[in-house]
Amino acid sequence: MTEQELIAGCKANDRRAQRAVYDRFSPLMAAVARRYCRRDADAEDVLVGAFFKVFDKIDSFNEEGSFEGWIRRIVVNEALMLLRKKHALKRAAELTEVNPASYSIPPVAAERLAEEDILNLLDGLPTGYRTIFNLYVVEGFKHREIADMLEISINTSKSQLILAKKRLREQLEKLGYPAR
Amino acid sequence: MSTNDSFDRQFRRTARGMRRRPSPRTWDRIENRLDSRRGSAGFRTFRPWMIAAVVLILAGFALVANGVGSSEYDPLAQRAESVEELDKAVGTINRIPDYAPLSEGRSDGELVSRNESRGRLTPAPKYRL
Repeated sequence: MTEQELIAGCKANDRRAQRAVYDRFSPLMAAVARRYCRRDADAEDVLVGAFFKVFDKIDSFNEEGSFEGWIRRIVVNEALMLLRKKHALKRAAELTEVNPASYSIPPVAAERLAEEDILNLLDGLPTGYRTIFNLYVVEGFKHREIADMLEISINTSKSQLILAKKRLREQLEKLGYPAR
Repeated sequence: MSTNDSFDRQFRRTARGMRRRPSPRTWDRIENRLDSRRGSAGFRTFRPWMIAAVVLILAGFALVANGVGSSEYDPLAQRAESVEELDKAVGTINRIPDYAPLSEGRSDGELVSRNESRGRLTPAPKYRL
């Protein structure tokens, strides 16, 4: 079935089409959810809530955009809602002075980074750092958008990203990745 | 800064390429939620405005029914009637008896009060007949 046929099937509440959409996108979305949630059970809750919303709100999907991008956005929103519900995003600090040398990470480290290492690295970050790192680096949101989404200041978003990168650099060094 | 950007890009590429197999029960949970939504769809079709509309319609019916029923007994709602007809209509009402003055004096010539003893109610000697 083509993507358009799957979407039409979902709009008609066809269970086979819904299952096909789930089969096609759930491995990718499970990884997205897991990047935001340290616990597998939380990631599963996010995935369940997100796919339910996908099928429930399928009529609001504008078919001019990317279906995968639309689903991903729902998954990210669902993950942020869960983190907010658990008050995991409460503590956020702002930095006044920043030395870029303390958080710069050589690209060669990322080239060699295995997928499992990525999860381990992200799991080693506090929730606030991990969330902003994910939103900025992986999803590609701007600090202004992140500030709106998380109801924090733009400076807090920038500070959290710098702290996340500083922590990542320390962890990469421990894992034996080149620091310079 | 460019080194940071390329780290970000590389990290992004690797992270976005990640896949994980969700547990088999995940789909079951989604399906359960979809089924329960379908089950409650019947209730969800009854919106508050629909309930309000039904209540208003019922109230309207009740008012109309009451109005029709009570109009038979409302004298203001009836057509004008001649005096003879009105006489017939009120003929069954008990008339108040015409005024008849009380005759002075009584055969026994005594006043009686529940609170006073009979002796104290006796008129003074100079007023006695």
